[in-house]
Amino acid sequence: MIEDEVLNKIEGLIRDFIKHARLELDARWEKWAIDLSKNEIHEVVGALLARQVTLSRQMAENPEMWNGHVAPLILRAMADAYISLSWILKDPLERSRKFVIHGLGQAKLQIEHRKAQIEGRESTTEEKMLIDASEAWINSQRFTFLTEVNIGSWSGISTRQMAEEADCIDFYNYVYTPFSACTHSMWHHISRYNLRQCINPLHQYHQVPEDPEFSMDPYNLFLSAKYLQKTFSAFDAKFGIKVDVPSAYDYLCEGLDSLSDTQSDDQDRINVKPSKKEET
Amino acid sequence: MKKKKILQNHKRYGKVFIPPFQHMLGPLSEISWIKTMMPELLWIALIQDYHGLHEGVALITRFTRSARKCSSSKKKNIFATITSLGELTKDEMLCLQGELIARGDLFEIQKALFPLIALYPECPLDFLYSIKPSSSVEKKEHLERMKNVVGGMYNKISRDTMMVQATAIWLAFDSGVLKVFEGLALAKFPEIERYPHTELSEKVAASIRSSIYMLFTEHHYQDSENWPKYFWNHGIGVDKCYFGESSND
Repeated sequence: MIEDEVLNKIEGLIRDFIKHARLELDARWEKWAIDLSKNEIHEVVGALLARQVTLSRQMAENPEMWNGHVAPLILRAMADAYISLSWILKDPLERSRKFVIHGLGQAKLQIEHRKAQIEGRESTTEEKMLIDASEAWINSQRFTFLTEVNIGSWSGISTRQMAEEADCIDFYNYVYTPFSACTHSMWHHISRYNLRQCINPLHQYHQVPEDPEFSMDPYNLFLSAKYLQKTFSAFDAKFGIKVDVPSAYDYLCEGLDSLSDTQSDDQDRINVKPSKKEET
Repeated sequence: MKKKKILQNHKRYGKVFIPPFQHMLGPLSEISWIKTMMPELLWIALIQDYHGLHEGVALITRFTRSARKCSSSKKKNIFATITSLGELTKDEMLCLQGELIARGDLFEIQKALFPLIALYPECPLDFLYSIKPSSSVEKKEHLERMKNVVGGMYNKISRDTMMVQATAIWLAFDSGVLKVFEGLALAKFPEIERYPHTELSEKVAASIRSSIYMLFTEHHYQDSENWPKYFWNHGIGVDKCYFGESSND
């Protein structure tokens, strides 16, 4: 198969995956009975579902990101959203409120920092507009003078504890934590990705910085689709929702399998995903 | 099935898990084979590489015996490290040079250490040369030899590197600093010649490797010594970096 054909197939696969992911989100929203007396649940949970679709879509649309430098930034954010959602779903009303209040407090804190920065001088029109708009956004939900600022974690516990309580500690251990290394540019990431060993024995085999190229690896797209699917499944299980639209994840897996089959004589050019059943 | 807890044998202090070795023995000061010991023992490696093991050990033994003879220090010196030889006073160095000349050993040592002094002019052993070797002459050959010898020393259990460590321990025996009880593996020291071909030689080698640190304890060695730092930092300028293949090549 010539390269153009492969790229066309991948483009088509990405396009259809995004279409399916959005359909899945819409279908769930349609089927979810809205109770406006508990609107926090719908807004928080709905936003987290949509966030996962956005992140997975961004991953899909940007094959340049399918490498160990950047993909974990997206995947870690998806893991974070999944753990937050899973923990919220254990007590949706109380925890959704907590989530909102913490977020408002953080926004208030940002405004206070901004105000402190311009203290002692006249603020520019842009600065004033930014502060006014941010305050209006908070006030539309809760007056800023009533909004507490909590500089701790929004849940009051660590992400690890949240994962334990939400029965997804494996996901924390094997997904969230490993991808944190890249997100926070920790030694065990940067030493592998941004250093290159000099082989001169007189130099103590030291390592020197480099910005290496990486080929794109669709496995990263597969993982983002997988985490999206996990998020949808957690939502479905909690609210007893069954949608009739095809799964974006299943669609992607079939597409990647098909690409893998047709590419058997050209394995070096593009890595294809492992079996769907294979764990992260 | 209940999952096995991880790090169970570690001692937890808040968010820090201390490994059992450190927890039981308390804080340890570390000395690095590569950073410190290799540059210090490099002279032994160069002599043994140049003259072969037997002649090399004999030459080194005569050299350090002469150093002890010329040293006015009351402390028993092993003189296994470059730094310790560089700590001789000017008079002691002159005395040592005279002893080596008298035995006909000076030129043999100079030949073996030539690349070291040529490429690392601030090496404490430069006192062995009245006329300082120049790095511009035969630099490529010097570099290759240095890279070959230094490169080999990273493997602490290779025969050549084992023999360097064995010689250093031998100098500790020869100086009277080291004595061992009969029955210990180290008491079978001569067996090291057969390393790694006999089981006993491997046991002796293990004892040597664990004993070599003794030469770098506070009593014999200050970890703040300049030579190892100079050796490595100067090495960066002596030759350029080399890389294997990578995606950017």
